[in-house]
Amino acid sequence: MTRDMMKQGLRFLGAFSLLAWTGLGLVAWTQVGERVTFVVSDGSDARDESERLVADRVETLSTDLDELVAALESNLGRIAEAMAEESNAQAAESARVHERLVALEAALPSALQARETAGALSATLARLEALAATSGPLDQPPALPIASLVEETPPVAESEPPIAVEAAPAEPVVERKRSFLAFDLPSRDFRFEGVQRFEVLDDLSRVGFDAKSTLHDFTGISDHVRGEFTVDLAHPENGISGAITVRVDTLNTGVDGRDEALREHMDNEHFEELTFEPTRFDAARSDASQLQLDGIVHGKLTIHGVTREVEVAVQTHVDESRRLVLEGEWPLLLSDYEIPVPNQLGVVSMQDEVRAWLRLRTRARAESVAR
Amino acid sequence: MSIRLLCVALLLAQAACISPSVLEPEDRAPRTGFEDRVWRPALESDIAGTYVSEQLSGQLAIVLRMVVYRFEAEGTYTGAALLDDDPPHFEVISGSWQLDQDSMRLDDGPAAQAQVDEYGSLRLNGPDGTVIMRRERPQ
Repeated sequence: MTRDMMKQGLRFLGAFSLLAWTGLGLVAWTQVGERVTFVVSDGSDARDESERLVADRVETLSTDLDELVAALESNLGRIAEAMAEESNAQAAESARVHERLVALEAALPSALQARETAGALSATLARLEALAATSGPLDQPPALPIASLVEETPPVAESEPPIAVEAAPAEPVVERKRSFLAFDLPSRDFRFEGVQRFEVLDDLSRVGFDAKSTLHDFTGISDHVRGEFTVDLAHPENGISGAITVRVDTLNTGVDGRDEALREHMDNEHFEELTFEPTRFDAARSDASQLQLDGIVHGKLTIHGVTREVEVAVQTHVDESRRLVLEGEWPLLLSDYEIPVPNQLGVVSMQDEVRAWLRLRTRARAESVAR
Repeated sequence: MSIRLLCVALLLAQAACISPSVLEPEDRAPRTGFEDRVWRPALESDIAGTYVSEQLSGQLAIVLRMVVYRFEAEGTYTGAALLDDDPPHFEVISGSWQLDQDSMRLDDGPAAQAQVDEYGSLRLNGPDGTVIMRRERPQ
């Protein structure tokens, strides 16, 4: 029963739904049909629109490109103009530099001549000053005519305009002179004034000692002396410094056996060198005109590892080779330096005191020395 | 006792055999080796060779420490000088030499008296000093 009723209900519902759907369709048709227009077309209008759009864009791009090209042309033109102006300016500057170089090159000989003239004037002035210093009062005629000094000075070239030269650091003008050896040698003389460093010429220097023994006196010598010292010969009181050394194994007494004994006593293996370090110079006589200096050199003498203060009486002079020669001697006790005094069987013995001496030839170094 | 006396006698005899060898003060300076050389005027045939200075004296000794020369027989030379400058340095030159009598001239410089000794050493004595040069043997 119920089942049949449900079937009938469903049929009724289906029919009702069909009628309602159809009704609604008709209502929609009437409502929408007034507002919607159906156009039947083959699509050519849409294509025209797209082409127009593309053409517009191309035209726009073409216009922009033209403007860009115009702008580029304008800018490139300006750049070219600027480069041309710069190039012209550089060319003008180069021409000015070239002209200046040519002018400087032309003026160089006169500048060099002016420099030589300045050097000659300086030398002449120095000679005049020396002349004035030695000629005494002004009412006396000079030993050399002034005109001769002036004639030595080359004239300054007047054809060239003066050249402005930057001031260079002042350097002493050292004249050079062609010697018979064909070298241009600086003119320099032995200098007594001023602090100088003197180098000991080992082949031309000697130190030694004179010893006395019971039966036989002898001298020990070393020709291998090295060292240097610094001193102002005109003012030795200002100080002296340096060191002079002698190797013990170079001491030679003329007898091999005695040399061996001497080295043994001085313990050569442990104390290979004798050293003298000057510390003070008390001048007794200083004569710059004669290039001589005498006095007492104080210093520290180290022998056999023992250092003692010593005073050495020295005389100095300048030899024909313009070397400073030092000669000096002083008493020396072997026992002061803890050196056993040689003794053979208590009969033949050497005296404790020996006379040490030195003969040094030294050269003054050319370099300036600052204290 | 007798042995001791014998030893003493031997020592005394040994010492007596050795003559005193104390240098006189004037002999303390070392010798240069050229003091006793006998010099004669140089001939042109003496000059060719290589020389090294052994002794410089006079004004040039202040600024020169040494010189070396090579003289060729055909009249050219080259030389080097160690100048005592600040700092010391070598200078090298080349040129020509000529000998007239015993007067030697390098390039157009001043003339110098040229002498040689039996060992081939060359002594040049010029206006600003003297240089004695040892002949260098070929090596």
